[in-house]
Amino acid sequence: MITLENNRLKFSFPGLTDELRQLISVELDRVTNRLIAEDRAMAFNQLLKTNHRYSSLDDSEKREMREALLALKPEKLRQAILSHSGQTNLVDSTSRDGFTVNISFQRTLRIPDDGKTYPLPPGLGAFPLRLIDDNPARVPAYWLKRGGVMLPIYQAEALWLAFKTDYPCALKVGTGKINAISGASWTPVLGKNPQDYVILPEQPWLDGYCVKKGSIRQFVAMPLGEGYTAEEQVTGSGEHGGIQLQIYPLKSKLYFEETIKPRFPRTLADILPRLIPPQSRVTGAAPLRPSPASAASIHIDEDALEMGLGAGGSIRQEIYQDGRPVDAWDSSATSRCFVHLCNSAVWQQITGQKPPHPPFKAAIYAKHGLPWFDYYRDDIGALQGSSILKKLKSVFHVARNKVEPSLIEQESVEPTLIIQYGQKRRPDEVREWVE
Amino acid sequence: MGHVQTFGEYVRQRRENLAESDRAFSVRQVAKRVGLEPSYLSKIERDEQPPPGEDKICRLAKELGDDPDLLLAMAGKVSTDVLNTIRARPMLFAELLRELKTRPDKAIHRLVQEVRDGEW
Repeated sequence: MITLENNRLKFSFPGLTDELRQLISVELDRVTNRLIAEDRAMAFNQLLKTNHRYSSLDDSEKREMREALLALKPEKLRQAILSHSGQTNLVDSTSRDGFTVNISFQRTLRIPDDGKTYPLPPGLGAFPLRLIDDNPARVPAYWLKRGGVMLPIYQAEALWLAFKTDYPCALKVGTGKINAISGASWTPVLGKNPQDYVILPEQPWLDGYCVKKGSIRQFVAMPLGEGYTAEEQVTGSGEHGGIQLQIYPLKSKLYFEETIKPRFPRTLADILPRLIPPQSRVTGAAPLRPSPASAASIHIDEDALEMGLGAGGSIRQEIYQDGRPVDAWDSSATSRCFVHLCNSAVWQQITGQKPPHPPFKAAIYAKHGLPWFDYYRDDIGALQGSSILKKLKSVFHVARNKVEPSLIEQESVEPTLIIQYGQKRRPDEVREWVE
Repeated sequence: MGHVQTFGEYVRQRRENLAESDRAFSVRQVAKRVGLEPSYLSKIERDEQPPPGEDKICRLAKELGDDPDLLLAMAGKVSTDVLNTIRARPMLFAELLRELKTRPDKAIHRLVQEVRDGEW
């Protein structure tokens, strides 16, 4: 299921979450039965020998603890195992959302297409998103047929995709139904040879087309029908435009085996401090929970309405290799969404709301010494890049032949402040996008 | 006013429909998968026992290919997450539900903001 929350697409997998709850429940029974049968007196004596927080207790405290442990009921043990495994929220909650993937579309600078490879540009806030179904009378019938959402974008404006998830997923991204990773025509299945998807959460962002190892060409919006877009250059026609997303979560059984099962205690000793804490006043602080998100007949010129994405300047960005086999991803739990790119000039006619201001020019941003970003991981391999996408003519190149001054303005810039991110810091805290 | 189908009648009808083409939907097998005694499920289906707890209803809904919220509503229950949401702001949600009760489905779908996938 996909919902729209605070200008983000939220993909959720209720069926998969139910499957995980079942797997956890079976494992919980199994581990509870095993640990309850262990020799508790021996485990307690061992704890006294090896843990000074217990050995320093006085005799009456030790006796009290030993008795509490010997009288341990399976239900209490079960709760302690669940808490140790970190799955209490998932199992106790009957919310059907469970794991989610959030995708937003970030406004950004357009990088000069001057032959240089730039660091990652900043996020200047999320594009507003609206359901196509919100304005059925004001959008073309073929948009209604496709469903999905729309966002307002100016001609020659750039964007990047931000991903936030707590569950491993494979994500296919298309522009005009051309795969942004492989350059092939859109198919509803995952391809591994060559890989035609990004892996989450390893890939925090996607800024453009995967053209070569370690480098992408920035996504830049242009009107359909003038030869700028990747779709038109690859297929010869501008039929679809927009952005297509299809997500495949990791199979629940694999996630359970890889991530959840290893967190279960192996022996009673692993969870004794949880069952009989040395000082009852020492309790963990309750985790902070984020507050819930607070979430006429007009002639529309359909020709001027729709935008597609073409290739802009070069940016350093790796697209990570999937280390799993392709059948690790659950094609039965897939969901997909068509994101229509609506010309900002007509957005207001459709929605009655103003589109965001056009973004800064890269030169102005750089002149003020504002930060750029770099993200690097040496623990995962990067894809080589697509030979099809490598041949794309950039929007700048196409515009130069058409003499369109707004695009020819391509002043080179010198980023001075580059913030480096890697494995040590979570990438979802960077690039300063405004939620 | 016509007869309103009870929880038991509905479950029985759904299960029997599925059992026509798949023997895995016998009372015994469904009960086993859901974690109920077959005799208990049989009594629930005949309305001789009240509906089971939330967890079993959700499992039953999954077995029968139904939405858990639908079965919970038929059993006169509300899922815990919805209940907690209402408890957090009871006046506001009571007002909201009263306001929405006569609105068409389409208007309510817009409120939920579910993204529909079409043909492309």
